[in-house]
Amino acid sequence: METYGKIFVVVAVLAVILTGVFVYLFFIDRKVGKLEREIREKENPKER
Amino acid sequence: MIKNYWWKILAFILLLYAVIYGFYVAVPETMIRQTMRNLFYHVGMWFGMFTMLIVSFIYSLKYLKGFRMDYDRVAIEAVNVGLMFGFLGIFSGMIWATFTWGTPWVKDPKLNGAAVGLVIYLAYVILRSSVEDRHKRAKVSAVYNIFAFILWIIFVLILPRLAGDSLHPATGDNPTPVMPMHLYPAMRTVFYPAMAGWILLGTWILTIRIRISKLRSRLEEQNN
Repeated sequence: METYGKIFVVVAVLAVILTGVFVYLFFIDRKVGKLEREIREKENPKER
Repeated sequence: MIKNYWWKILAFILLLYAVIYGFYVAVPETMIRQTMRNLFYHVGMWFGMFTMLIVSFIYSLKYLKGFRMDYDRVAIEAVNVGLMFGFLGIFSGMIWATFTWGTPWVKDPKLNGAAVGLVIYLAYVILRSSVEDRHKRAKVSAVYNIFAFILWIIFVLILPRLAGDSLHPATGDNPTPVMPMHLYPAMRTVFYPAMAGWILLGTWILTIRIRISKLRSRLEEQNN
């Protein structure tokens, strides 16, 4: 670890950023899914 | 839920692994020193772009066979995601070049080819926006897209290799052993999972873009 000169701090920051991006993408994915359901229900109200 | 999400979780695990282990894996002592780790990230952008362009090319062919608007939708959205990767590839490459070659841009066949490749696909996007009728737009742009893909391969993958003298690895007679087939065995354990991760991430973004595009045309149908 010493030879790397605290590079693990950078690794931790990158890991947090990457996790954040994926969590964000997951919520966008879910939001689109919700919109899809809403439109489907609007087009076929009987299906509910 | 896990049925639809497993490959998205896989993308996350692969990239997390690449970001963490990519800094710990031993890289050989070369002129470019620790910056060789950029291989896991910078090259991933080009793997991502190329995958998106292949998808777009296939769907343009499919469109010309069946004239289904859904195929046209995939073709344009894949180019959009591909362009995102392409610009990230160029910019990340410029940062790397600044520290390796002393300047963000060198007159090099690989770099110029990559820039021309981006212009070719920007032209695709502009071409689309200039045709009003959506069926005509789909047809014209599908034909252009087939030429664009072939030109991209020529400019980015073939001509730089024929050019002979290039600074960029994996071109001409540059002996720098950083191409996948010359990769040091330890680095391969990060390189290939990283490439798979970037490609899966691009695919995820692509599916979201396609779904949003479908929603938009559904709304337009309702309004008409």
